[in-house]
Amino acid sequence: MTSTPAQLPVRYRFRVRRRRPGAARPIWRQPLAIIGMLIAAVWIVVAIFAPLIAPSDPLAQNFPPFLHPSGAHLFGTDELGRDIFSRVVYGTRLTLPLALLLVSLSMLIGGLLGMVAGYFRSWVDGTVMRLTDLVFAFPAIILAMVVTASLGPSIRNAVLALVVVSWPTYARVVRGLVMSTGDTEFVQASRLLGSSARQALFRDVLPNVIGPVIVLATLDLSNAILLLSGLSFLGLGAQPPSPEWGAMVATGTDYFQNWWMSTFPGLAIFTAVLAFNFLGDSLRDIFDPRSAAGGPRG
Amino acid sequence: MPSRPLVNFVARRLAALVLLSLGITLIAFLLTHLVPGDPVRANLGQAAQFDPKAIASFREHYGLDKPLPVQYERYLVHLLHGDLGQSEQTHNAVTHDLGQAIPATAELAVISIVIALVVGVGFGVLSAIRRNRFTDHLLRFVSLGGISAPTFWLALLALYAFFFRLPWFPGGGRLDPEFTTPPHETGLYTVDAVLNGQWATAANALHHLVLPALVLALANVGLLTRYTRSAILEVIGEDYVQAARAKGMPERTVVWRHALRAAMPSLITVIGLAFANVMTGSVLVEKIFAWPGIGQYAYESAISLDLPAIMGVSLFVALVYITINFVVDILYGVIDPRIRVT
Amino acid sequence: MAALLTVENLSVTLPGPEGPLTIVDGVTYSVEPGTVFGVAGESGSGKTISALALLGLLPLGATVEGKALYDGRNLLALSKRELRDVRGREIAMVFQDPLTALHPMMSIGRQLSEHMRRHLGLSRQAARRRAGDLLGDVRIPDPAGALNAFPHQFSGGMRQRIAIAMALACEPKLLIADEPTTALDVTVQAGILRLLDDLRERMGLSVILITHDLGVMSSIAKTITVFYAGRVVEYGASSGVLRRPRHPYTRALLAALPHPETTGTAPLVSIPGSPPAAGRFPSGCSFHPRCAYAIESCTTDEPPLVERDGRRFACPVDPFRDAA
Repeated sequence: MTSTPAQLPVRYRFRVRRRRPGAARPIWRQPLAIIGMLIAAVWIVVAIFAPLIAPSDPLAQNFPPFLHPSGAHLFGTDELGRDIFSRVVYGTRLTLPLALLLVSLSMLIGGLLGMVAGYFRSWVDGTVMRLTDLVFAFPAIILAMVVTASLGPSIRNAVLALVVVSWPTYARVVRGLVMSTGDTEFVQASRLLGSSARQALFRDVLPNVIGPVIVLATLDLSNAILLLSGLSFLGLGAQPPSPEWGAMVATGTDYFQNWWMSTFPGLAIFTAVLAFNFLGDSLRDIFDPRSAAGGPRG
Repeated sequence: MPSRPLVNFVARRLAALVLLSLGITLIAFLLTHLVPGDPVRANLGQAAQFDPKAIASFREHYGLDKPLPVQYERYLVHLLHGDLGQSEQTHNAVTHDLGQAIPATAELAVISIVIALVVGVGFGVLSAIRRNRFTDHLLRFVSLGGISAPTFWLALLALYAFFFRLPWFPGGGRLDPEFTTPPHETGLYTVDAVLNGQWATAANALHHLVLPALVLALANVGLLTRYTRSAILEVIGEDYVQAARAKGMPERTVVWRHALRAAMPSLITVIGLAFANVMTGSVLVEKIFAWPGIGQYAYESAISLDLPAIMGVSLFVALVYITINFVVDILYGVIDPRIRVT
Repeated sequence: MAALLTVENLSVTLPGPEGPLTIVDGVTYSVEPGTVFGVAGESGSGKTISALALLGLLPLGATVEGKALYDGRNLLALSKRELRDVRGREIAMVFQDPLTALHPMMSIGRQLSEHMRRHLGLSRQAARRRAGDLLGDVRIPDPAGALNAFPHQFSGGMRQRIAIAMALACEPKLLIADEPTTALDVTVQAGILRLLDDLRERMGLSVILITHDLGVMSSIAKTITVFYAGRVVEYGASSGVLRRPRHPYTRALLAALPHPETTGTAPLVSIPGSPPAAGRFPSGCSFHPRCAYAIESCTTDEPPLVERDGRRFACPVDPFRDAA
């Protein structure tokens, strides 16, 4: 617990912090986390330096179509004569920022609602819970499909639809955390020391809630990538000629024998998702470690 | 006679279910009124579009000229009579189309869930008891891969490998063209064929089921392995597990009876999740394998903006989903007697 | 009378972050049949681990040395299968927290009968009948109804009785009770202790009673062993040990017990310092940093357990030799 020498009760100075249960191995000692971070880093670098890495314009139909992967075209060319490698590279500029946007929005909206519900309880909590129940009742993709279709297929609407589908998870988690943290003695103590509801919320409850939410967000990032590419695969997300990975896999379905058209974009999705899953898993081990089976008893 | 607490528990959950269902109908109703466009023009055929009498009667039937709450009420009434409207695409009653599509997905879903359960839970327990050894690391890696791979990509890879390159499995559909569909009893081809002694048909239907069911199962295998592993690890250190050992029970019993049972509540949650995954996955898998199920139906109606169909499918899927969650909730009460008092 | 269990030089290490930690360091004692053998000590003294070692219930990575002779066999050298036959049947255990020691999702009847069916080969009905009888023996009201009930429906004291019934189901000769009353209210504790003593008398049961509470010890233990930092520091008849302790640690423990006669203003006595952490035992006599009577040699020479005046204790200084 960190605290400043007491000058109570004039101003609330204590920052009460829950001790993190147990000390797990730091993140740089977990191999999965390292691999995850490396892969994610690679993709991020690719996204940033896309124009420098891609040999050609992703939209340029300059080459003979259906070329096998070769030295000149690492991933071959597609049905319109575009270099698939360049398209995959530029695809990072679609998938990664959008997934991040999706997760951030869901986290913000869901987190806020969850916090309010968990802290003020009563009818606020009831309403938010009913709302999440309703959204949860529809499997993500059905809801997303309907919303996207009715608003018109575009990547922007796909993101919107997915935010609608994803915020309840954050709301539930944050609500649960706020409620359990709020009930602990140290928060009650701080309230007794005179902090207002808002102060207690932001200074005491929030820091303890952030950890698990970050874990959730990281894992959700991978889910976001899967859902976005899934919707694009169905034609409800990114529209042609966007080099979105899911849409590219969809095109490849029609030209089945040219296996490279679907394989490489799919591989891109796979590795990106894997990276964030590794990362999220390791983060979860840090924030919520389960101690080794049994310890010496007295 | 089941105990009093259990009956009360079920009754309360049932009441919640009914309320939730009502809420869902409202959502389905509102959702489809989001859609821009005139439903009249969309629903009636070419000729009838300009027939004022047809338009008027359509308006009347669906109460389109009345305020929204009245329309909702009409909708509910229709619903209770089993009328989900008529599909704009097929011009069949939505209930009819759904009736065709549901068994197809059910067949796929059930097989895929069973595979996922058996393999996933088995791997999970194995992973937990061989914690931090090679088996554990291998299984964790594989399960992570399973949940990370996009379902549609896996489906394509499977098709490419096992249909295109190695012609072991068919490339889509529920039966080869030379087979006739078995007489309709359940709509599940395998079951219907067996019930009528059509063994060759049953075998063929099974043959068609393998690839899509496996692909659908893969994501869930990963999920179940991970959850089972952590659920078991959570309880394996508990005193009652140690006490079971101290009684002289063999380790096998300690793990599969005592530990697994204690881990059940967490596992049951995952089963609900697994069903959701199957629904989501089915949309993608059915498209790729040309499987005429709910997923396919949902997709088709979404892109053609077939309002009644969309409403019908959304409603159906949501109801199935909350029913499954309801069953899961009840199972909690059955498995863990402490819950019955909440 | 031949001892039921003889432990010789038992040592246990557990894996630690920087190598194996010694938890139990060369412990020797023996348990007579039909007696309550008390094991006293603070948490971290190794008393529970030494008991778990007897049944082979140590966590992964533990190493065990020494011998534990029971019925002519060395328990520490038994195979897994042989151990399984001993557990529950010859030697049984009752754990500290009855809430967590009973499976929350299995009926009491099931938990009581499953090992009976395994060890004694009873049929389902016979095992159930016997389970009902056992519940009656430990004085659970309405045994028949209790068989179908679940642990959370009972109070702490009753749960502990059920746990005892479970342990005794296959008529073991030795019961290890690890802090059986610690998690219970004081008023309930006496009932449990009376029950244990009663069972001892009726069934000729031997009990190893592990506790840090010397008051509990005094009521039923016949012999007491005092553990400190993984070693035995005093060992003898309980009346003697409790009334005229010879080891400074034992004496300090007894002095720390609040007495009802002391007036409200008398300060609470405590032992200065704190027990050493596992694997970080001080050199020589482990107690020397906290001992008021330590001399130079106490910091370097590990004191052996020596018998004097019918008592065994590990203190060459022996400051209370003439104490009343």
